[in-house]
Amino acid sequence: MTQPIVDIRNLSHIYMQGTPLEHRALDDVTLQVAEGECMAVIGHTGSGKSTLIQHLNGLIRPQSGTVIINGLDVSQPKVDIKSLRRQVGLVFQNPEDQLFEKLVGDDVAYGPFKMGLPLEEVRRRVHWAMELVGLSFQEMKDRPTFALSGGQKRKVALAGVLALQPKVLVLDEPTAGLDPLSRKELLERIRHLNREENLTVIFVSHNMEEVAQLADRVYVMANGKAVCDGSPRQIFGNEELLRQHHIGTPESVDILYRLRTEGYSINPESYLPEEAACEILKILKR
Amino acid sequence: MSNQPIICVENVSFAYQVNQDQQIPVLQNVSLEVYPGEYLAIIGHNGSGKSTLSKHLNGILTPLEGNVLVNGINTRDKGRIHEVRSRVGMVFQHPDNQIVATIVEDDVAFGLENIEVSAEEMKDRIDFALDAVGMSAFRHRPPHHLSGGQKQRIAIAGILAMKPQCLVLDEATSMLDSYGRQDILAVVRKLHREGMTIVTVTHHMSEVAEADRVVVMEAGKVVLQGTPREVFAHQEKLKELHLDVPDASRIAALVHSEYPAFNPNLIHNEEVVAEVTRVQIREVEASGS
Repeated sequence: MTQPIVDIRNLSHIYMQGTPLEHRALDDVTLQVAEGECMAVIGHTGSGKSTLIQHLNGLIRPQSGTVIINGLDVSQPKVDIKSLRRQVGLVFQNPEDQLFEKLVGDDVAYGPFKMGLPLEEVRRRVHWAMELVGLSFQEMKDRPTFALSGGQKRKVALAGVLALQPKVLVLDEPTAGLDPLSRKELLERIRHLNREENLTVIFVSHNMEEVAQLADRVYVMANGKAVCDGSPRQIFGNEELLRQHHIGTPESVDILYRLRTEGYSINPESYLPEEAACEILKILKR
Repeated sequence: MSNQPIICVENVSFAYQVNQDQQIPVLQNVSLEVYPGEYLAIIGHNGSGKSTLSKHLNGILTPLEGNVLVNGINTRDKGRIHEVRSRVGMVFQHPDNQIVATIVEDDVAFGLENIEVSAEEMKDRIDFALDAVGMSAFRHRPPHHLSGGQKQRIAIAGILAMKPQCLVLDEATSMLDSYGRQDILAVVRKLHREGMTIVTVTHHMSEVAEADRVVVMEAGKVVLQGTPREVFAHQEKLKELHLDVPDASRIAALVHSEYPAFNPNLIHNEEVVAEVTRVQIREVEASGS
């Protein structure tokens, strides 16, 4: 691998250190992400996923271990945080947390405006980012943010981050609360950004269908440690691992596991619905 | 199911007021009845009006036009709004937005304190509510140390303590992981079995498959309704409405297109497994005879 864009080594983090409530959220985590990769971080609630991704744009600074993002060493006290946050865009799980302007267009423009870009460039970027996430610039720019549905708010939050044109996009539960089509469209757009614009994508998700559709690589966490790192096929084919670490399966994989329990011979690595249908046809035509 | 609905939504229209001369219409002449003991799912894409509709069911929002009646009480009647809310309770999407106290049992008691229940009865109701959601062991814990699914169960307990007839879940599982979601679904299933009326707004089609009746919203109107099996049979129509079907339905349809003897009209994972077995046994019998 050439120089990874995200290079995390031996990272540990303890909340409320030295108190009775001390909690080790990250325990000696090492992780490299290559430029242009699309990686999912999965794990049960409390496994340390959120703590990990908050290190990526300096919301949490390393207590021990190193975090180097595109050559910037976040462990250094003098690191240029502004420059770091321009390179790493973070979209939170609750879109309400990052919308604060009255109108949609102003909200998306906030970041580029603060960067001191000329007005024309700000406008161009807002237009680009809104259309990219599936919000019509003409129709939506003057909408008040309070009158948006949950799914629309999420798109606005994502557009606001994309307008900064980061090199690494970090998403916490990118499609929670979105309807099936919006989810599919957003995943396709993220995929497009990843494939065509070479944007590095790191996302946390509970939705295994989403992980199956989007990720090249899956990083499984439990109790603050990495327990597995592999392709979606390797991860979803491993029923024991998923059960042991309380990770759900895509529905289609659940059907395959059930068939296997009934004594049918199936390949559980076939995690897409179309592949699962083929597995069933194989049984029937045998 | 009795014929007298608990909730009557009559020709309701609603719009968000943007400024003096601009309104965004959200509901257009919606009529809907919810019957006692029913498990109703409301689906629709983001912005179709389903959440706005659910917020009308216990008077959080009141219609611009038309009426909502809960056991005959009009939700416009501000003097009786407490009565309405004690009959129809609501659980929202974000668990953190609906937890107010620092100890689980205080949180469950919060609604009861407002309606002046005696200390004795309060204890009984808290016991009942925490037991119903399987969270009795957590009664003295601070809620912020709980997982999302556990917090949602506490939110449900707070509503159960009010002894409502109907529980409305507005995307109550969408922020939870699959285990948290299963926890909530198990609680909802149990409540429904015991006679509670359930209205759920959700994007998870496998949850919809468990309901008795599905209402599909589009642009502020009800455009399709029926049992889950009836609704999910309209795969193309749902796709037009930006909706989906459970993976079980999609897989069944795919298998059916290559293998016509396979029933395409399945909605649950276990039905797919049973259908594989059924078709196989038939094949074996056919080839054996």
